Amino acid sequence: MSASTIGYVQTVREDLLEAAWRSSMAARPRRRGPSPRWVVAAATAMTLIAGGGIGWVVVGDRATPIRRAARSMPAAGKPSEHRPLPSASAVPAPAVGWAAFGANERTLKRVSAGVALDHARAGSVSSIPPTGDLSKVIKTADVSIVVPRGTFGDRFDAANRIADRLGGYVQASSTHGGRSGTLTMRVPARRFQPALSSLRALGRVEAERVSGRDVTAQYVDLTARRRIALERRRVLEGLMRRATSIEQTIRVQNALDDVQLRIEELQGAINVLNDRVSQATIRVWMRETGVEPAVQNVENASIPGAFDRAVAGFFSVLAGVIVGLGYLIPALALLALLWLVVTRVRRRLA
Amino acid sequence: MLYERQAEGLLRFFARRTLDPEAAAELMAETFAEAFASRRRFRDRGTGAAGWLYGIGKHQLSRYFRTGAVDVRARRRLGMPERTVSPEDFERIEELIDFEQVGRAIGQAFSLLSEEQREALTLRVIEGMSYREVAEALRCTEETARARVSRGLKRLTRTLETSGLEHEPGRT
Repeated sequence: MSASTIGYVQTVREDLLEAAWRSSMAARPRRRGPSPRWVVAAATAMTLIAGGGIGWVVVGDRATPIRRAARSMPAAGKPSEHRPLPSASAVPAPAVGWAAFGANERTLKRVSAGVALDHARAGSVSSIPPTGDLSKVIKTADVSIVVPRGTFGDRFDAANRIADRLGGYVQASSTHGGRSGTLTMRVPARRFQPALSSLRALGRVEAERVSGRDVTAQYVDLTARRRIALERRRVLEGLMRRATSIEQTIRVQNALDDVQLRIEELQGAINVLNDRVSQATIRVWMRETGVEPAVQNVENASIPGAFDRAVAGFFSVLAGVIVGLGYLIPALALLALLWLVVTRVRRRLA
Repeated sequence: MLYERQAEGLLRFFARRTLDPEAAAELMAETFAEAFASRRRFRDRGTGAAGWLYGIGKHQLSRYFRTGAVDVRARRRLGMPERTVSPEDFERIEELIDFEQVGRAIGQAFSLLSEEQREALTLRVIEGMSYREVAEALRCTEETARARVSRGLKRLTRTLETSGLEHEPGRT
Protein backbone atom coordinates (compact mmCIF):
# COMPACT_ATOMS: atom_id res chain seq x y z
CA MET A 1 0.00 0.00 0.00
CA SER A 2 1.31 3.44 -0.87
CA ALA A 3 1.97 6.04 1.83
CA SER A 4 -1.16 7.71 3.09
CA THR A 5 -2.00 11.24 2.00
CA ILE A 6 -3.33 12.02 5.45
CA GLY A 7 -0.74 13.99 7.38
CA TYR A 8 -2.00 12.71 10.74
CA VAL A 9 -1.33 9.13 9.64
CA GLN A 10 2.21 10.05 8.60
CA THR A 11 2.84 11.88 11.87
CA VAL A 12 1.64 8.96 13.96
CA ARG A 13 3.86 6.68 11.89
CA GLU A 14 6.90 8.79 12.73
CA ASP A 15 5.88 8.90 16.39
CA LEU A 16 5.62 5.14 16.43
CA LEU A 17 9.03 4.74 14.78
CA GLU A 18 10.55 7.07 17.32
CA ALA A 19 8.90 5.16 20.16
CA ALA A 20 10.24 1.93 18.69
CA TRP A 21 13.73 3.37 18.50
CA ARG A 22 13.55 4.60 22.08
CA SER A 23 12.29 1.23 23.17
CA SER A 24 15.14 -0.57 21.44
CA MET A 25 17.68 1.80 22.97
CA ALA A 26 16.17 1.49 26.42
CA ALA A 27 16.10 -2.29 26.27
CA ARG A 28 19.46 -3.33 27.63
CA PRO A 29 21.10 -6.04 25.64
CA ARG A 30 20.68 -9.35 27.36
CA ARG A 31 23.86 -10.45 28.93
CA ARG A 32 25.30 -13.67 27.79
CA GLY A 33 26.04 -15.95 30.62
CA PRO A 34 24.44 -17.94 33.35
CA SER A 35 20.96 -17.22 34.62
CA PRO A 36 20.49 -15.34 37.89
CA ARG A 37 19.50 -18.60 39.59
CA TRP A 38 22.82 -20.14 38.65
CA VAL A 39 24.64 -17.03 39.78
CA VAL A 40 22.90 -17.13 43.18
CA ALA A 41 23.56 -20.86 43.52
CA ALA A 42 27.21 -20.41 42.56
CA ALA A 43 27.61 -17.49 44.95
CA THR A 44 26.07 -19.53 47.77
CA ALA A 45 28.29 -22.50 46.99
CA MET A 46 31.36 -20.28 46.81
CA THR A 47 30.44 -18.68 50.14
CA LEU A 48 30.02 -22.08 51.78
CA ILE A 49 33.25 -23.37 50.28
CA ALA A 50 35.11 -20.24 51.33
CA GLY A 51 33.55 -20.52 54.78
CA GLY A 52 34.54 -24.16 54.97
CA GLY A 53 38.08 -23.31 53.88
CA ILE A 54 38.44 -20.59 56.45
CA GLY A 55 36.89 -22.84 59.08
CA TRP A 56 39.26 -25.65 58.15
CA VAL A 57 42.24 -23.34 58.46
CA VAL A 58 41.03 -21.91 61.77
CA VAL A 59 39.82 -25.14 63.34
CA GLY A 60 42.29 -27.39 61.59
CA ASP A 61 45.31 -25.49 62.82
CA ARG A 62 44.26 -25.97 66.40
CA ALA A 63 43.18 -29.55 65.93
CA THR A 64 46.18 -30.70 63.93
CA PRO A 65 48.57 -31.37 66.81
CA ILE A 66 45.89 -33.28 68.66
CA ARG A 67 44.91 -35.27 65.63
CA ARG A 68 48.51 -35.87 64.71
CA ALA A 69 49.16 -37.24 68.14
CA ALA A 70 46.02 -39.33 68.04
CA ARG A 71 46.89 -40.80 64.68
CA SER A 72 49.36 -43.53 64.20
CA MET A 73 52.88 -42.57 65.01
CA PRO A 74 54.56 -43.64 61.76
CA ALA A 75 52.26 -41.36 59.78
CA ALA A 76 53.71 -38.33 61.47
CA GLY A 77 55.84 -36.36 59.09
CA LYS A 78 58.11 -34.85 61.66
CA PRO A 79 58.91 -35.62 65.25
CA SER A 80 56.42 -34.26 67.67
CA GLU A 81 57.53 -32.27 70.63
CA HIS A 82 59.06 -34.46 73.24
CA ARG A 83 57.46 -33.82 76.55
CA PRO A 84 59.46 -35.35 79.35
CA LEU A 85 57.23 -37.22 81.72
CA PRO A 86 57.24 -35.71 85.19
CA SER A 87 58.40 -37.98 87.90
CA ALA A 88 55.74 -39.53 90.01
CA SER A 89 56.59 -37.49 93.05
CA ALA A 90 56.53 -34.27 91.08
CA VAL A 91 53.01 -34.70 89.79
CA PRO A 92 50.81 -32.16 91.51
CA ALA A 93 47.64 -34.02 90.62
CA PRO A 94 47.03 -35.74 93.96
CA ALA A 95 46.05 -32.49 95.57
CA VAL A 96 43.58 -31.94 92.77
CA GLY A 97 42.43 -35.51 93.07
CA TRP A 98 41.84 -35.20 96.76
CA ALA A 99 40.04 -31.95 96.31
CA ALA A 100 37.81 -33.54 93.72
CA PHE A 101 37.20 -36.36 96.07
CA GLY A 102 36.08 -33.86 98.69
CA ALA A 103 38.51 -35.01 101.34
CA ASN A 104 40.34 -32.98 103.92
CA GLU A 105 43.76 -33.60 105.34
CA ARG A 106 42.53 -35.80 108.17
CA THR A 107 40.54 -37.92 105.79
CA LEU A 108 43.59 -38.23 103.67
CA LYS A 109 45.61 -39.71 106.48
CA ARG A 110 42.83 -42.08 107.41
CA VAL A 111 42.35 -43.25 103.84
CA SER A 112 46.09 -43.66 103.41
CA ALA A 113 46.20 -45.85 106.44
CA GLY A 114 43.19 -47.76 105.16
CA VAL A 115 44.85 -48.26 101.80
CA ALA A 116 47.98 -49.64 103.44
CA LEU A 117 45.87 -51.93 105.56
CA ASP A 118 43.83 -53.10 102.57
CA HIS A 119 46.95 -53.84 100.59
CA ALA A 120 48.32 -55.81 103.49
CA ARG A 121 45.08 -57.79 103.71
CA ALA A 122 44.70 -58.36 100.03
CA GLY A 123 48.28 -59.40 99.58
CA SER A 124 47.85 -59.51 95.82
CA VAL A 125 48.82 -55.99 94.78
CA SER A 126 52.22 -55.68 93.27
CA SER A 127 54.52 -52.69 93.32
CA ILE A 128 52.54 -50.71 95.82
CA PRO A 129 54.13 -47.35 96.23
CA PRO A 130 55.14 -46.19 99.66
CA THR A 131 52.36 -44.83 101.81
CA GLY A 132 53.87 -41.38 101.70
CA ASP A 133 53.64 -41.20 97.93
CA LEU A 134 50.08 -41.70 96.75
CA SER A 135 50.69 -40.62 93.13
CA LYS A 136 49.43 -43.08 90.58
CA VAL A 137 50.48 -42.32 87.02
CA ILE A 138 50.04 -44.58 84.00
CA LYS A 139 52.97 -44.01 81.70
CA THR A 140 52.80 -44.70 78.00
CA ALA A 141 55.05 -43.84 75.10
CA ASP A 142 54.87 -44.16 71.33
CA VAL A 143 58.14 -44.12 69.48
CA SER A 144 58.71 -44.29 65.76
CA ILE A 145 62.27 -45.26 64.83
CA VAL A 146 63.92 -45.33 61.44
CA VAL A 147 66.92 -47.64 61.15
CA PRO A 148 69.48 -47.92 58.33
CA ARG A 149 68.86 -50.31 55.45
CA GLY A 150 69.65 -53.94 56.22
CA THR A 151 69.68 -53.46 59.98
CA PHE A 152 66.02 -53.94 60.79
CA GLY A 153 66.34 -57.52 62.02
CA ASP A 154 69.16 -56.78 64.43
CA ARG A 155 67.64 -53.56 65.74
CA PHE A 156 64.23 -55.16 66.22
CA ASP A 157 65.81 -57.98 68.23
CA ALA A 158 67.69 -55.40 70.24
CA ALA A 159 64.41 -53.68 71.06
CA ASN A 160 62.99 -56.99 72.24
CA ARG A 161 66.02 -57.53 74.41
CA ILE A 162 65.63 -54.10 76.00
CA ALA A 163 62.32 -55.24 77.47
CA ASP A 164 63.92 -58.38 78.90
CA ARG A 165 66.96 -56.55 80.19
CA LEU A 166 64.90 -53.98 82.11
CA GLY A 167 62.70 -56.58 83.77
CA GLY A 168 59.78 -56.14 81.43
CA TYR A 169 58.28 -58.22 78.69
CA VAL A 170 57.10 -57.96 75.08
CA GLN A 171 53.32 -57.89 74.98
CA ALA A 172 52.95 -57.95 71.19
CA SER A 173 55.29 -57.99 68.23
CA SER A 174 54.85 -58.12 64.48
CA THR A 175 57.01 -57.53 61.43
CA HIS A 176 56.10 -56.59 57.86
CA GLY A 177 58.27 -57.95 55.06
CA GLY A 178 61.36 -58.05 57.23
CA ARG A 179 61.87 -54.33 56.90
CA SER A 180 59.39 -52.85 59.34
CA GLY A 181 57.55 -53.93 62.41
CA THR A 182 55.74 -52.95 65.55
CA LEU A 183 56.43 -53.84 69.13
CA THR A 184 54.52 -53.28 72.34
CA MET A 185 56.50 -53.76 75.52
CA ARG A 186 55.72 -53.41 79.19
CA VAL A 187 58.54 -52.34 81.48
CA PRO A 188 58.52 -51.46 85.16
CA ALA A 189 57.50 -47.86 85.60
CA ARG A 190 60.76 -46.95 87.29
CA ARG A 191 62.63 -48.24 84.20
CA PHE A 192 60.52 -46.21 81.81
CA GLN A 193 63.11 -43.55 81.04
CA PRO A 194 66.02 -46.00 80.64
CA ALA A 195 63.91 -48.05 78.26
CA LEU A 196 63.12 -45.02 76.16
CA SER A 197 66.78 -43.99 76.10
CA SER A 198 67.80 -47.45 74.95
CA LEU A 199 65.17 -47.46 72.22
CA ARG A 200 66.20 -44.03 70.96
CA ALA A 201 69.74 -45.32 70.59
CA LEU A 202 68.58 -47.94 68.09
CA GLY A 203 68.09 -45.45 65.26
CA ARG A 204 66.75 -42.09 64.26
CA VAL A 205 63.68 -41.14 66.23
CA GLU A 206 61.13 -40.03 63.69
CA ALA A 207 58.35 -39.27 66.12
CA GLU A 208 57.83 -39.70 69.79
CA ARG A 209 54.99 -39.16 72.17
CA VAL A 210 55.23 -39.63 75.88
CA SER A 211 52.22 -39.29 78.12
CA GLY A 212 51.28 -39.87 81.69
CA ARG A 213 47.73 -40.23 82.92
CA ASP A 214 47.22 -39.44 86.54
CA VAL A 215 44.79 -41.94 88.06
CA THR A 216 45.43 -41.08 91.69
CA ALA A 217 41.91 -39.83 92.32
CA GLN A 218 40.44 -42.93 90.74
CA TYR A 219 42.72 -45.12 92.79
CA VAL A 220 41.87 -43.42 96.07
CA ASP A 221 38.20 -43.60 95.22
CA LEU A 222 38.41 -47.32 94.59
CA THR A 223 40.38 -48.03 97.76
CA ALA A 224 38.03 -45.94 99.90
CA ARG A 225 35.00 -47.75 98.51
CA ARG A 226 36.71 -51.07 99.11
CA ARG A 227 37.51 -50.08 102.70
CA ILE A 228 33.88 -49.23 103.32
CA ALA A 229 32.83 -52.52 101.78
CA LEU A 230 35.30 -54.37 103.98
CA GLU A 231 33.94 -52.63 107.06
CA ARG A 232 30.43 -53.54 106.00
CA ARG A 233 31.47 -57.16 105.56
CA ARG A 234 32.95 -57.17 109.04
CA VAL A 235 29.69 -55.87 110.50
CA LEU A 236 27.67 -58.40 108.52
CA GLU A 237 29.90 -61.21 109.74
CA GLY A 238 29.17 -60.12 113.32
CA LEU A 239 25.46 -60.14 112.57
CA MET A 240 25.77 -63.57 111.05
CA ARG A 241 27.27 -64.89 114.21
CA ARG A 242 24.38 -63.49 116.19
CA ALA A 243 21.63 -64.69 113.84
CA THR A 244 19.10 -66.87 115.64
CA SER A 245 16.70 -67.85 112.88
CA ILE A 246 16.97 -69.27 109.40
CA GLU A 247 15.34 -66.20 107.91
CA GLN A 248 17.85 -63.89 109.58
CA THR A 249 20.68 -66.10 108.44
CA ILE A 250 19.52 -66.10 104.83
CA ARG A 251 19.04 -62.33 104.73
CA VAL A 252 22.45 -61.62 106.25
CA GLN A 253 24.05 -64.17 103.96
CA ASN A 254 22.55 -62.51 100.90
CA ALA A 255 23.87 -59.15 102.04
CA LEU A 256 27.25 -60.70 102.70
CA ASP A 257 27.35 -62.20 99.21
CA ASP A 258 26.62 -58.82 97.66
CA VAL A 259 29.31 -57.13 99.68
CA GLN A 260 31.81 -59.84 98.87
CA LEU A 261 31.09 -59.49 95.16
CA ARG A 262 31.50 -55.75 95.39
CA ILE A 263 34.79 -56.13 97.26
CA GLU A 264 36.12 -58.44 94.58
CA GLU A 265 35.08 -56.07 91.80
CA LEU A 266 36.77 -53.17 93.52
CA GLN A 267 39.85 -55.24 94.19
CA GLY A 268 40.00 -56.27 90.53
CA ALA A 269 39.81 -52.65 89.40
CA ILE A 270 42.51 -51.68 91.87
CA ASN A 271 44.69 -54.53 90.64
CA VAL A 272 44.29 -53.38 87.05
CA LEU A 273 45.19 -49.85 87.99
CA ASN A 274 48.19 -51.01 89.96
CA ASP A 275 49.34 -53.15 87.07
CA ARG A 276 49.05 -50.34 84.61
CA VAL A 277 50.78 -47.96 86.96
CA SER A 278 53.57 -50.30 87.84
CA GLN A 279 54.18 -51.38 84.27
CA ALA A 280 54.67 -48.67 81.68
CA THR A 281 53.64 -49.37 78.08
CA ILE A 282 55.89 -48.49 75.18
CA ARG A 283 54.77 -48.95 71.60
CA VAL A 284 57.53 -48.99 69.05
CA TRP A 285 57.20 -48.57 65.30
CA MET A 286 60.41 -49.46 63.57
CA ARG A 287 61.18 -49.37 59.85
CA GLU A 288 64.12 -49.21 57.56
CA THR A 289 64.95 -46.09 55.61
CA GLY A 290 62.87 -45.91 52.45
CA VAL A 291 60.07 -48.11 53.75
CA GLU A 292 56.69 -46.45 53.81
CA PRO A 293 55.08 -46.31 57.23
CA ALA A 294 52.60 -49.11 57.74
CA VAL A 295 48.96 -48.10 57.68
CA GLN A 296 47.71 -47.90 61.22
CA ASN A 297 44.32 -47.37 62.79
CA VAL A 298 43.20 -50.74 61.50
CA GLU A 299 40.66 -50.77 64.28
CA ASN A 300 38.76 -48.11 62.34
CA ALA A 301 38.63 -50.16 59.18
CA SER A 302 35.34 -51.75 60.15
CA ILE A 303 32.00 -50.56 58.81
CA PRO A 304 30.83 -49.18 62.17
CA GLY A 305 34.17 -47.47 62.49
CA ALA A 306 33.82 -46.03 59.02
CA PHE A 307 30.31 -44.86 59.87
CA ASP A 308 31.53 -43.21 63.04
CA ARG A 309 34.31 -41.52 61.14
CA ALA A 310 31.86 -40.37 58.48
CA VAL A 311 29.54 -38.86 61.08
CA ALA A 312 32.48 -37.24 62.83
CA GLY A 313 33.75 -35.95 59.49
CA PHE A 314 30.33 -34.56 58.62
CA PHE A 315 30.11 -32.64 61.87
CA SER A 316 33.72 -31.54 61.55
CA VAL A 317 33.02 -30.08 58.11
CA LEU A 318 29.79 -28.51 59.38
CA ALA A 319 31.61 -26.98 62.32
CA GLY A 320 34.31 -25.74 59.98
CA VAL A 321 31.73 -24.15 57.68
CA ILE A 322 29.97 -22.48 60.61
CA VAL A 323 33.24 -21.15 61.97
CA GLY A 324 34.27 -19.98 58.51
CA LEU A 325 30.94 -18.25 57.96
CA GLY A 326 31.48 -16.46 61.23
CA TYR A 327 34.59 -14.95 59.70
CA LEU A 328 33.14 -14.52 56.24
CA ILE A 329 29.73 -12.96 56.88
CA PRO A 330 31.02 -9.71 58.46
CA ALA A 331 33.54 -9.38 55.64
CA LEU A 332 30.82 -9.95 53.02
CA ALA A 333 28.52 -7.50 54.76
CA LEU A 334 31.25 -4.86 54.65
CA LEU A 335 31.90 -5.58 50.98
CA ALA A 336 28.18 -5.34 50.20
CA LEU A 337 27.99 -2.01 52.02
CA LEU A 338 31.00 -0.75 50.12
CA TRP A 339 29.51 -1.90 46.82
CA LEU A 340 26.23 -0.15 47.67
CA VAL A 341 27.99 3.10 48.46
CA VAL A 342 30.13 2.96 45.32
CA THR A 343 27.09 2.17 43.14
CA ARG A 344 25.08 5.05 44.56
CA VAL A 345 27.96 7.48 44.18
CA ARG A 346 28.49 6.38 40.59
CA ARG A 347 24.79 6.75 39.84
CA ARG A 348 24.74 10.25 41.29
CA LEU A 349 27.82 11.21 39.32
CA ALA A 350 26.26 9.77 36.18
CA MET B 1 4.78 -2.97 7.43
CA LEU B 2 1.53 -3.47 9.30
CA TYR B 3 1.05 0.24 9.89
CA GLU B 4 1.32 1.19 6.25
CA ARG B 5 -1.06 -1.57 5.22
CA GLN B 6 -3.68 -1.05 7.89
CA ALA B 7 -3.52 2.59 9.05
CA GLU B 8 -6.05 4.09 6.63
CA GLY B 9 -8.35 1.10 6.83
CA LEU B 10 -8.40 1.31 10.61
CA LEU B 11 -8.97 5.04 10.41
CA ARG B 12 -11.94 4.45 8.14
CA PHE B 13 -13.19 1.77 10.54
CA PHE B 14 -13.21 4.22 13.41
CA ALA B 15 -14.47 7.16 11.36
CA ARG B 16 -17.55 5.29 10.11
CA ARG B 17 -18.44 4.21 13.63
CA THR B 18 -17.79 7.41 15.50
CA LEU B 19 -18.62 9.81 12.64
CA ASP B 20 -16.00 12.00 14.33
CA PRO B 21 -12.73 12.44 12.34
CA GLU B 22 -10.79 13.67 15.39
CA ALA B 23 -11.88 10.79 17.60
CA ALA B 24 -11.23 8.34 14.76
CA ALA B 25 -7.68 9.64 14.27
CA GLU B 26 -6.94 9.42 17.98
CA LEU B 27 -8.43 5.95 18.20
CA MET B 28 -6.26 4.86 15.30
CA ALA B 29 -3.12 6.25 16.97
CA GLU B 30 -4.00 4.73 20.33
CA THR B 31 -4.74 1.35 18.75
CA PHE B 32 -1.36 1.23 17.04
CA ALA B 33 0.38 2.39 20.21
CA GLU B 34 -1.37 -0.31 22.22
CA ALA B 35 -0.50 -2.90 19.56
CA PHE B 36 3.15 -1.88 19.64
CA ALA B 37 3.29 -1.91 23.44
CA SER B 38 1.76 -5.38 23.60
CA ARG B 39 3.48 -6.81 20.53
CA ARG B 40 5.20 -9.54 22.58
CA ARG B 41 1.80 -10.93 23.56
CA PHE B 42 0.74 -11.36 19.92
CA ARG B 43 -0.28 -14.92 19.10
CA ASP B 44 -1.61 -15.64 15.63
CA ARG B 45 -4.96 -17.33 16.13
CA GLY B 46 -5.76 -17.58 12.46
CA THR B 47 -6.75 -13.97 11.86
CA GLY B 48 -3.20 -12.72 11.39
CA ALA B 49 -1.77 -9.47 12.65
CA ALA B 50 -4.61 -7.46 11.07
CA GLY B 51 -7.27 -9.38 12.97
CA TRP B 52 -5.33 -8.89 16.18
CA LEU B 53 -5.07 -5.16 15.40
CA TYR B 54 -8.78 -4.81 14.77
CA GLY B 55 -9.45 -6.70 18.00
CA ILE B 56 -7.54 -4.03 19.85
CA GLY B 57 -9.35 -1.39 17.83
CA LYS B 58 -12.78 -2.75 18.79
CA HIS B 59 -11.74 -2.78 22.40
CA GLN B 60 -10.66 0.85 22.13
CA LEU B 61 -13.88 1.76 20.38
CA SER B 62 -16.09 0.18 23.00
CA ARG B 63 -14.15 2.02 25.67
CA TYR B 64 -14.63 5.24 23.75
CA PHE B 65 -18.39 4.70 23.54
CA ARG B 66 -18.51 3.78 27.20
CA THR B 67 -16.46 6.69 28.56
CA GLY B 68 -16.95 9.24 25.83
CA ALA B 69 -13.20 9.84 25.53
CA VAL B 70 -10.33 8.26 23.64
CA ASP B 71 -7.84 6.45 25.83
CA VAL B 72 -4.30 7.89 25.81
CA ARG B 73 -2.49 5.45 28.14
CA ALA B 74 -0.61 3.48 25.48
CA ARG B 75 0.65 6.63 23.76
CA ARG B 76 1.79 8.09 27.07
CA ARG B 77 3.52 4.87 27.99
CA LEU B 78 5.47 5.02 24.75
CA GLY B 79 6.15 8.72 25.07
CA MET B 80 4.12 9.59 21.98
CA PRO B 81 2.73 13.12 21.85
CA GLU B 82 -1.02 13.71 21.44
CA ARG B 83 -1.37 15.11 17.95
CA THR B 84 -4.17 17.38 16.77
CA VAL B 85 -5.93 16.79 13.47
CA SER B 86 -5.32 19.57 10.93
CA PRO B 87 -8.29 20.98 8.93
CA GLU B 88 -6.94 19.29 5.79
CA ASP B 89 -6.77 15.94 7.49
CA PHE B 90 -10.20 16.50 8.98
CA GLU B 91 -11.66 16.76 5.49
CA ARG B 92 -9.75 13.76 4.20
CA ILE B 93 -10.96 11.62 7.08
CA GLU B 94 -14.52 12.77 6.41
CA GLU B 95 -14.00 11.61 2.85
CA LEU B 96 -13.10 8.23 4.22
CA ILE B 97 -16.39 8.12 6.07
CA ASP B 98 -18.26 8.77 2.80
CA PHE B 99 -21.31 10.33 4.40
CA GLU B 100 -23.31 9.89 1.21
CA GLN B 101 -22.78 6.17 1.35
CA VAL B 102 -23.43 6.09 5.05
CA GLY B 103 -26.60 8.12 4.69
CA ARG B 104 -27.77 5.90 1.87
CA ALA B 105 -27.06 2.81 3.87
CA ILE B 106 -28.82 4.18 6.93
CA GLY B 107 -31.85 5.18 4.88
CA GLN B 108 -31.98 1.78 3.29
CA ALA B 109 -31.66 0.05 6.62
CA PHE B 110 -34.30 2.32 8.12
CA SER B 111 -36.74 1.50 5.37
CA LEU B 112 -36.39 -2.19 6.15
CA LEU B 113 -37.79 -1.66 9.66
CA SER B 114 -41.47 -2.16 10.40
CA GLU B 115 -43.73 0.87 10.57
CA GLU B 116 -44.03 0.58 14.35
CA GLN B 117 -40.25 0.30 14.82
CA ARG B 118 -39.58 3.26 12.47
CA GLU B 119 -42.03 5.45 14.39
CA ALA B 120 -40.65 4.40 17.76
CA LEU B 121 -37.05 5.01 16.66
CA THR B 122 -37.89 8.39 15.12
CA LEU B 123 -39.60 9.59 18.29
CA ARG B 124 -37.00 8.20 20.65
CA VAL B 125 -33.70 8.74 18.77
CA ILE B 126 -34.31 11.66 16.40
CA GLU B 127 -36.83 13.65 18.44
CA GLY B 128 -35.38 12.65 21.80
CA MET B 129 -38.62 11.82 23.57
CA SER B 130 -38.75 9.83 26.79
CA TYR B 131 -40.22 6.32 26.66
CA ARG B 132 -43.35 7.52 28.44
CA GLU B 133 -43.87 10.20 25.78
CA VAL B 134 -43.17 7.70 23.02
CA ALA B 135 -45.73 5.32 24.57
CA GLU B 136 -48.36 8.07 24.78
CA ALA B 137 -47.72 9.12 21.17
CA LEU B 138 -47.97 5.53 19.90
CA ARG B 139 -50.87 4.70 22.28
CA CYS B 140 -49.12 1.69 23.74
CA THR B 141 -47.55 0.77 27.04
CA GLU B 142 -44.11 2.01 28.00
CA GLU B 143 -42.78 -1.55 27.89
CA THR B 144 -44.01 -1.98 24.33
CA ALA B 145 -42.34 1.31 23.31
CA ARG B 146 -39.05 0.13 24.82
CA ALA B 147 -39.30 -3.19 23.00
CA ARG B 148 -40.00 -1.52 19.63
CA VAL B 149 -37.02 0.84 19.98
CA SER B 150 -34.73 -1.96 21.10
CA ARG B 151 -35.72 -4.34 18.32
CA GLY B 152 -35.51 -1.55 15.73
CA LEU B 153 -31.96 -0.61 16.78
CA LYS B 154 -30.82 -4.21 16.64
CA ARG B 155 -32.24 -4.73 13.18
CA LEU B 156 -30.75 -1.42 12.01
CA THR B 157 -27.34 -2.45 13.26
CA ARG B 158 -27.52 -5.82 11.54
CA THR B 159 -28.55 -4.24 8.26
CA LEU B 160 -25.75 -1.64 8.41
CA GLU B 161 -23.23 -4.36 9.17
CA THR B 162 -24.18 -6.18 5.99
CA SER B 163 -24.47 -3.07 3.82
CA GLY B 164 -20.73 -2.49 3.38
CA LEU B 165 -20.23 0.06 6.11
CA GLU B 166 -18.54 -2.56 8.23
CA HIS B 167 -14.80 -2.65 7.52
CA GLU B 168 -13.00 -5.78 8.45
CA PRO B 169 -9.45 -6.75 7.49
CA GLY B 170 -9.38 -7.95 3.93
CA ARG B 171 -12.64 -6.24 3.10
CA THR B 172 -11.50 -2.74 2.15
